[in-house]
Amino acid sequence: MDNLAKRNIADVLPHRPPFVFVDKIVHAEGKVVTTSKIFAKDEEYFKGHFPGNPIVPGVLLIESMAQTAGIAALNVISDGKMLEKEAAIFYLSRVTNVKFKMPVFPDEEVMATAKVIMSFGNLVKVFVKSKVAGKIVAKGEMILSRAIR
Amino acid sequence: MGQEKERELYERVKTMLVKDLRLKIAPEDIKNTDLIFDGGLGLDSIDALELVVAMEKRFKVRIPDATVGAKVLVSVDSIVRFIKEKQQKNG
Repeated sequence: MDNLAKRNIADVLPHRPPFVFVDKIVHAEGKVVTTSKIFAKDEEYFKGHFPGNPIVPGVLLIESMAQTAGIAALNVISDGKMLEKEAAIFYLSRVTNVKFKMPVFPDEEVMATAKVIMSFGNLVKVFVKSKVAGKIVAKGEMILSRAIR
Repeated sequence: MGQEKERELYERVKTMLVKDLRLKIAPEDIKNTDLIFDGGLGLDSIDALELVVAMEKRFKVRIPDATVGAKVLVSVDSIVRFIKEKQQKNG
């Protein structure tokens, strides 16, 4: 396992609260990164999604997978030697073939896995999936572009 | 490569473009010299990555970097030429 799994999220993601949808890196090895996230029941958005029937919004599951994909992409472009000062920003450029297979409820632990399929120029293609209690709740494909700064 | 095999390769490349890049045209409507980007088939730089992935999946050829990609991902003609070269090298 790469040392990446021991890194602070703030070191490897440019996102900051309230828009961080990764709690911790569970596993990181080469092109594959798994993270976990618990969408706490007291989050403001559950009041409206949906009243009396709180369900994690699909767009937040996508964002959680995208942030995991960003960590995997960073791990690949830096050959697994990711350092804080090398942190790059990746923009979400394409999301395809996304399926939501089961609803996710507040306080469930969502494990998102991203696997880098191909890196070409400043673009990275990633397969993503999210699981709750071992069952796939969402999956899809994403393309990230590395921001040129 | 015989003429029949080459014609088949052109057809496979055009089918790849239509299927893997979700083009709204028929493979037979693509000309060998049509530009893939720059307004030709209406694809963009993000599609370039999808095309690289598709070529590896369908033809087992890898475009190593963006510099080679800029020369290869121009038209059906240039893609076929690249696949033929790679396949001949690999025997």
